[in-house]
Amino acid sequence: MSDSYIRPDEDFEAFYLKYYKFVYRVCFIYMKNSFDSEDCTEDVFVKVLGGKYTFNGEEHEKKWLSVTAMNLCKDKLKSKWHKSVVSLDGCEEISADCSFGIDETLREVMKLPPKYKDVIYLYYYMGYKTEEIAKILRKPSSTVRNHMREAREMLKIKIGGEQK
Amino acid sequence: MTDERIVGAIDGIEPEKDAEKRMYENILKKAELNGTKFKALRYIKPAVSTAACVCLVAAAAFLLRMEIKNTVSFTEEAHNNAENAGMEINASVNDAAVLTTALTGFIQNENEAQIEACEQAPEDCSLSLEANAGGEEGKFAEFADNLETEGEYVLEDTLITQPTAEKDFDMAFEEYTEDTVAESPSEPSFNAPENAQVLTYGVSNDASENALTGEFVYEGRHYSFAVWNLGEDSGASAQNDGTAAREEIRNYSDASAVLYAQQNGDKVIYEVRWENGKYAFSLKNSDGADKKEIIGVAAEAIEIN
Repeated sequence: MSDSYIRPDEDFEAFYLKYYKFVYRVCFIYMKNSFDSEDCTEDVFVKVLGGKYTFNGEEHEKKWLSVTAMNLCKDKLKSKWHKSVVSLDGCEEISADCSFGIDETLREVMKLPPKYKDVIYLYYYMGYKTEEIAKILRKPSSTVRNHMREAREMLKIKIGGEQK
Repeated sequence: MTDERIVGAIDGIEPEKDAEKRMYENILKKAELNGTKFKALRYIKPAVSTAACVCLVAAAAFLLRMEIKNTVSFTEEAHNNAENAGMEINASVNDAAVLTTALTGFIQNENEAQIEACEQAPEDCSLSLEANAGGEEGKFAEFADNLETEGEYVLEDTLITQPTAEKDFDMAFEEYTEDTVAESPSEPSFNAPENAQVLTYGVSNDASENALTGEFVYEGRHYSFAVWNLGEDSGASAQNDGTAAREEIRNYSDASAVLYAQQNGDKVIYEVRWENGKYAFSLKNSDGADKKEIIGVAAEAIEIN
């Protein structure tokens, strides 16, 4: 991790260009369509722009962005408006309008409930250990491990990892 | 650890071609819009406080009137305020209404005076508002007015100069911690030691319905485990027939762990059993782990289960 402190608001455009895909990917896992994913991505960066945050290196930036994106997505998914739109359209399924191919692994991950996506994303994509995930999610390590186990059981794909 | 398939799958998510520019423009618009909202919110506090005062005064006046009828006198100024506010006052209007209206007029005048004062010296004015941006709930921020040279009001979020992103983590995650306790497993569960590779995990078919069994590999040794409700038959009573050597290995908290050694041909099969007050646990090795190894694995399992 770099020791330099970064103020994204001082060069916001560069910060945005560096991380917009990263944030979009997190959002897409939760929102399942490009429209909502873009909306949530925008909200994350609006937060950065208005927050005057200081990050302690790239690792810190990624952690903050991913966790903030996860929270914003879950807030949006819980909102009455979003629920009503989903129920009307019946569009719980993954959107077919995306410009990239969704492979089986991604499809299975996106089908998971949000609490399982959290741990799968943080563990298998971000590479955090269960103790770190527990701190990030503010849940006991045992809960995180249970979520990990349950998520693995729900995934049709075979993935490895610790079972603590 | 990371999983290459998951990393690859997620890295394969790509925004649309023109999304980069579109999102950037929208971000700037949203940020600007947030500023506009803040400007509008400067009028909320006087309005809310006025309404609250009116309600309180009305309630107080009602109670007052109930107890002391016809004893409240009103100043001429109060009547004037009421009349200025458009109320027609006559002898049949009750005292509470007159008092309320008069004080409302007074508060309105005060607010108007306050707004005028703010316009002249905005640095002396402040508002307390709820910040709900970015999914943060229950977070309060203070906003201070600053009068720009063009005469436009811009509100600055003074809180955001204080926290680092770490503080924001704390704020953002509060609502997701509520179900943590409720999600504690109510059925038998087993956590294998750290870095163990779990091979199987599930409800046993040949034992009690609540018995959980599984297998894992740890440091090259193959272990099987079983968890069942206290008082129920584990279905694996090989160690209970008295043929196995029994040794109490250590009392881990309330676990009362016991090591069993069963001679099987030229092999010794070790099993450790313990309880945690609700469930009974069994950890068994049959591929040559020695006593020290299985006690070490059991010790870790006891700690985390």
